[in-house]
Amino acid sequence: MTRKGRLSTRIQKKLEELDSGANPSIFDDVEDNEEMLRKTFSYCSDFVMKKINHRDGTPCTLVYIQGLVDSKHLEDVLINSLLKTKTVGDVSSSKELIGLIKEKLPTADVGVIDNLNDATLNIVNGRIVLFVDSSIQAISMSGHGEVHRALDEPSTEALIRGPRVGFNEDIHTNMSLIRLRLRTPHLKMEETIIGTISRTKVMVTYLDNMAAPELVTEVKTRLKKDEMGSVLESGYIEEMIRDAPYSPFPVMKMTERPDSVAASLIEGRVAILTNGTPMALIIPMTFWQTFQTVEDYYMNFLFATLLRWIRYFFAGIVVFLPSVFIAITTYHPEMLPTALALSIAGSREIVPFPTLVETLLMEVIFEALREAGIRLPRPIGQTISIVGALVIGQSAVQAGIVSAPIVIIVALTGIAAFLIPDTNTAQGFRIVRFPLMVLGGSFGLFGIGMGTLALLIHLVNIRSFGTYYMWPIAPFKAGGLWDVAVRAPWWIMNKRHLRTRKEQTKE
Amino acid sequence: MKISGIQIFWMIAAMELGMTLLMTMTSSLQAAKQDAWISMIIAGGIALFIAFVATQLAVLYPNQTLVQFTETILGKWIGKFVIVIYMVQWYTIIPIILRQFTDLIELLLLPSTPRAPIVILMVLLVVYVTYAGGIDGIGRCSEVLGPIIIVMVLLVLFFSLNNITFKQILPVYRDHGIMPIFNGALAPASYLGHAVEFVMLAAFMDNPSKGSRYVYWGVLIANVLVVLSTAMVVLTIGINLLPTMWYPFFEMTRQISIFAFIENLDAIAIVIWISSVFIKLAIYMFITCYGTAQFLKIKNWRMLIWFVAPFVTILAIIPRNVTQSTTHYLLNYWVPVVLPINMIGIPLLLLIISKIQKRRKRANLN
Amino acid sequence: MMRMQTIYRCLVLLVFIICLTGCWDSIEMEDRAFVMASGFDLTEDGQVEATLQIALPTGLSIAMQGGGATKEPFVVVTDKGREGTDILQHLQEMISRRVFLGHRGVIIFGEAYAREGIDEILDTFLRSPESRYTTFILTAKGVTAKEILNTPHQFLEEIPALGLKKKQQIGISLAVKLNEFLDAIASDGKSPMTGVIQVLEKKADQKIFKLGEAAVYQDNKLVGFLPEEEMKTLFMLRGEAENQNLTAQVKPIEEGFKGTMGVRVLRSKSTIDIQIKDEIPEIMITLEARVVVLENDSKLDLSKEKKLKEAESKFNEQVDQRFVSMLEHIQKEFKADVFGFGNEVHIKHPEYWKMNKDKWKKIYPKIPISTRVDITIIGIGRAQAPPHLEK
Repeated sequence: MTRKGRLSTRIQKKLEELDSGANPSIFDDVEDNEEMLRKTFSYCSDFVMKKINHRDGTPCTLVYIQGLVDSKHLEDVLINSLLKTKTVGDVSSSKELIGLIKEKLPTADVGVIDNLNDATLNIVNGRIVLFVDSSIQAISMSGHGEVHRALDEPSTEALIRGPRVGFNEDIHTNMSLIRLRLRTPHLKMEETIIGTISRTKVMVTYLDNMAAPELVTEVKTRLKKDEMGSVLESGYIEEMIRDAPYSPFPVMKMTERPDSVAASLIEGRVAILTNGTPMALIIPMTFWQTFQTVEDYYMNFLFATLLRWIRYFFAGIVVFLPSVFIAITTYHPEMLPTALALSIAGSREIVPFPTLVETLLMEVIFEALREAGIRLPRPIGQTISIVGALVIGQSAVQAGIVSAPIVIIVALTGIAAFLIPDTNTAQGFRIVRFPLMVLGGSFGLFGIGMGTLALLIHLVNIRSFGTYYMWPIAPFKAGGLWDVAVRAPWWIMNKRHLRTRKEQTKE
Repeated sequence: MKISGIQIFWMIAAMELGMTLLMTMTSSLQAAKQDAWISMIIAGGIALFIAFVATQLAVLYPNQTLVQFTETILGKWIGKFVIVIYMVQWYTIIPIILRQFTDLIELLLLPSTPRAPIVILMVLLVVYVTYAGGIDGIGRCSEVLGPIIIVMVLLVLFFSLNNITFKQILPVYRDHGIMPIFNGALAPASYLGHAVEFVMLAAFMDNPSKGSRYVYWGVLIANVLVVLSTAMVVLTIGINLLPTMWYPFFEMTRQISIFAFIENLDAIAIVIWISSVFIKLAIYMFITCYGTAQFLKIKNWRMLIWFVAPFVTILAIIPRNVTQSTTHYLLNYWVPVVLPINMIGIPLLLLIISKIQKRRKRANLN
Repeated sequence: MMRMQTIYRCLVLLVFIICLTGCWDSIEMEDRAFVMASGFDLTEDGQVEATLQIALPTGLSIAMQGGGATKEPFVVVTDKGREGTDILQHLQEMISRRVFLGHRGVIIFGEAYAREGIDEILDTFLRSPESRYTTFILTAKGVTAKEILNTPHQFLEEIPALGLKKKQQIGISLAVKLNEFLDAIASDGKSPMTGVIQVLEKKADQKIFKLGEAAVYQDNKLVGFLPEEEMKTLFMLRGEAENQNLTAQVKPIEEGFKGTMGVRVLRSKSTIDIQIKDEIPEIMITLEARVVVLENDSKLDLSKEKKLKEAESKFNEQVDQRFVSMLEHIQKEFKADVFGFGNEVHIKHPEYWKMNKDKWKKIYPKIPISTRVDITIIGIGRAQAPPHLEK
C-alpha cells in the first residue's frame, strides 16, 4: 500500500531497475503492479487500467493502451470470458492459476510473462496484459487493434500485366502475402526487433533450400551489429547494414510487390521486411537488376529483351547526354554534322551563359521541378506541370536565357530517368551526371572518359553481401547473361532456377 | 586477390591492343612500308613465343611471382640483380606510357590544356583502381572495357572499308625482302611481348597451369586486330603519307564518313583507346608496387602506391618533347634491351636453369 | 597509418579540384567562326591572298528558332600575307571569333596561285590537327577564289560552300579530297589533280559557276586543264564512270536527225597491261564499259542487233579518240601522271620501279601507250525505237 503522493521504496526500486535495463519481476500484489505501471505510463492518457474480478473472486487488472486495442474484442471476448469462466478445481499455486486462466481464454495468441520489462513491452506493442492477484506471472493477449491501410495497388511499381497488390505497413499482412505465394515450409521467417526506442519488428525471410547459408548468417549478423535508436523505415536498415556505405548506388533492391519478393526468394535471395513500411529489401543486388522489373517475366520474352535494351540505352542517356553535349559543343564541334552545328551555334547566340553553366542551371531547375511535382497537393500539381514544362521552357528560350537545344537535352534526360525501374539506382545516376558534366566542361570528351572510368572502377569494386555488383559481366559468367543481356524464355530460366545460386558469391 | 582465366585474357588483350595499335605502327610502316602487316604477323609469332616461355616459367612455381621464384632459381644475390633489371623496366615504362598518352591527348583532343592535369587525372585513376581493387579489381575492369575496345576497333575497321583503295597494299613483299619486314616486326613484338608480365600475375590465379591458354588467346586476338588494322591503314591512307604520321590508326578514323553525315569521329575512338592505356598502366602500377614490396619484403604493398605514383607523375612531366620520350626510349632502350633480355632472354634462362635444377633434384632423389 | 591515408586522400582531392578550375580548351559554339571554305589566290605583287567564307548562324533560317533570318548567312574575310600562318593570324584578327576549320568543306586554289606552287599551304594542312582530310579541293579557272567565295546564293544553298561540298559529294564532276591530293603529291608514281570550278555565264551581273573540268598538277604546280569529254575517259580509266553520260555521232547528220546518240555508263572497268621493253615500260590499256541508251537521235533501229553493233563500234571509235587525246594531254603536254601509271609499274614490276623511280618524270612522257575501247550497250530504255527510223 502506498501513501498518497509517495511511492513505496520497493516500487521505486523496481522502477530504477526498469530504467537501468534489468528485468524486475512482477509484484504479486495487483495493486503494486498497478502503481508501477501508473508511474511508468504517467502522462499517457491513452493508457487504461481496468480492474476486473475473476469469477471466482480473484482481483485482476487488465492493462492496455486504448488506441492499439480493439475495444469490441476486449469487451465481448475477453472481459466476458473472464467474468464467466469458472476455474475448475483447486489451485495450489499462482502458476497453476495463471495456467488455467490462460487455457480458458478464447484467444489463440496468449502468452505468459514474468517480468515488468516484458509487461511494459507487451503493453506498448498493443497487447493486453492481465495481472492476477497473488501471481508473479501475468498473461498477455493480442489486442487485434492495429489499424492499417487496405491493400492497394503498389504506387511505385505499376504494371499492366501482373497482380495488383502491394505490401502495406503491417508486417504480418506482408508476411502472409508472401506465404500465399510460396506455400512451402522451406520459407523461413526469422524475427528480430531492432531499435531501442521504436522496437520495430523486422523479418528476415528466405527459402532455406535455395539461399546460401552464409548469406543468411551474414544478414542476421549485420542486423544485430549496430545499435539504433529507431527504425522507422527500411531505409534506416539499408544504410546501416549495406556495403559500400558512401556509394550513391544501392546494394539492396527495394520493392513493395510480393511477387517481386517471392521471385527473388526463389532465386536464392534473402528479403528483409520491416514493420511500418511497405518497402521490403532484397539482398543481394547486382547492378543489372536495376533494369529488371517483375513484369519482364510476365510478358513476351522478345519484347522484354527489347525493353531491357531500351532501358540500358536510356540509362546511358541519363548519365551521359548532358555531359557529352557540353563536351562536344565546346571541345569537339567537328563531330556534329555541319547543319546541326550551325543550328546550335545560332541558337546559342543570344544566351549569355557558357554551355556548362547553362546546362547545370537547367538540370538543377529540372530536378527542382521534379521534386516540386511530388510535393505539391494534387489539384495544383497538374497545373504546375503544364506551367513548368511549357511556359518556363518556352519563355526562357524566347527571353534568351537558355537555348532550345539545352531544353531538349534536359527534358530528354529527365524523361530517361523515369525509365529506370529501380528508383534508388536512378537516383544514383542522377547524382553522377553532375560531376560528369563538370568534367566534360573542363576536359571535353577526355574528361568524360576519365569520369566514366572512375565510375566503372567504383561499380566494379562494390560487393553486395559477397556478390560482385557487376556480376555476371565482371567477373564474367556466361550463364548469367540469360537474364542480363536478354530476358531468356522460361524454359531456359527454369533450369537455372532449380540450381542454387552459390556461384554468385565466389570468394 | 584472385583472378580468373578470363580476366587474364581480357587484361592482356586490352592492354596490348591499345598500345601496339598506336605506338608501333609508325615504326613498322617506316621500316617495311606496305608490308608492315606482314611484320605484324611476325611480331605476333615472336610474342606468342614470349608468351609460351612466360607461361611455362610461371607454371613451374605456381604460387610465386617472378620476384619470388627468381631468387629461388638463381640464388639470393644474382636473383636480386635480375629483379632489378625488371624493376628498371617497370619504373620507366609507366612514365613513358603516361607521357606518350599525354602527348596524344594534347595533340588530338586538348591542345591548350597544360600537361600536368592530364597526367595527374590518369595517375589518380590508376591509383584508385590499384588501391581499391587490387589486381582483381583491374581484372574486372578489363572484363568490361576489353570488349568495348575490341568493338571500337572492329567498328572503325568496318566503317573504313568504304575508303579502301585495294591497290595501295601492293606490291606485296617484292619491294623489300625479308630484312626490312623483320625489322618492322621488332617494335610491335616488344609491345605485344608485354604478355611476359604474366609471370607476375600467374600467382593470383586459382589454377595457373590453365592460364597459358588465356595468355595465348589474349596475344592472339590483340595480334589479329593489329594485323588487320595495319593492313587497313595501308589500304585507306596509302604508303605515301603514312610514314610521316604519328598516329595512323586515328588518321584512318578521321576519314570515316557514315552516310556523309556522321564524320570526324576520332574523338570517340581516342576516348575508348584511353581505357586500353588505363588498363596497361594499372597492371604495371600493380606489378611495380607488389613486386617492389616483395623485393623489399614489405608486408603492405598498398603503401608503395603513395611512393610510386608521385614518382612516375614527375617523371612523366619532365621530358621536353615528343621525340625524346617516344622515339629515344623505343629505339635506344625498349627494342634493343627489353625485348631480347627482359622478355625473351631472362625468362628463357630461368626456365632452362630451373628445369635443370628440377631434373637434378629428381635424379638425386632416385 | 590511417592518418597518413587520410592526409594522402585529402591531398589527392585537392589536386583533383585544382585541376578542374581551368577549362583551357573550351570554346563556346557561339565564339567560333565556322569556316565553310577557304580560297587562295596570288596577288600582283606575289603575295598570297587568302579568303575565308564563314557561316553566320544568325543569318540562317534554321538556326533562328522560327524567327526569320535577318542578315546574310555568311561572311567573307580576305587578307594578303607572305605565308600561311601569317595570313591566318591576320584573318583571325579581322573577326571577333575563333577561326574553326573543323567544318571546312572546300578549299579553292586560284589558277595563278596554283601555277606558282601550293606546297607551303599544303604543309599547314598536314600539320594542324584541325584540318580534316575529307575537305574537297578545287581549282578556279578564269576567276579568282575570292570572287567565288564572295558570290551568294549559289547551288541552291544559303551558304554557297555547303552547296559546293554537296555537289562534290554527289560525285558527277571530279571530286578530290585533301588526302587523295596529298597522297598523289607525296607519291612518286602519281600526279595530283583536282576538280575545276569556272564561270558558266553571267546573268544580270551575277555569275553562275559550274564544275566540270579537271585541273592537272605536276608536283605542287598547276600545269593545265583537261576538257570535260576527255575527263570522262579518265573516269572510265579509273573505273569510276558510273552515271557519266557519253555522246557520240553514230551517223552523219541527215535531214531531221542529228545522228547523235547519248548513253549512260552503268559500269566501267579498265585493264592495264605493262611490259618492259628496252628499259621502258610499254602500256596497253583496255577500257570496258556497259551502257544504256538514253537518247537516240539517229535513224538506227536499236532493236536490231546489227544496228546495235554499228552504234557500239561508232562509240568505240569516238571514245577511243577522246581517250587518245586525253592521254596526249596528260602525257605529252602536261607531263603529269595523273592516273598513276607509275604506281601500276611499281605494282607489276617492282624491281624495275626501284631502279627507275627517280627518273620517272623523264621516262613517263616517252612511254608508248596503246588503247582499246570496248563499249557494250546492254539496254535501250523503254522504247524500242523512235517512231521515225530506218528499217
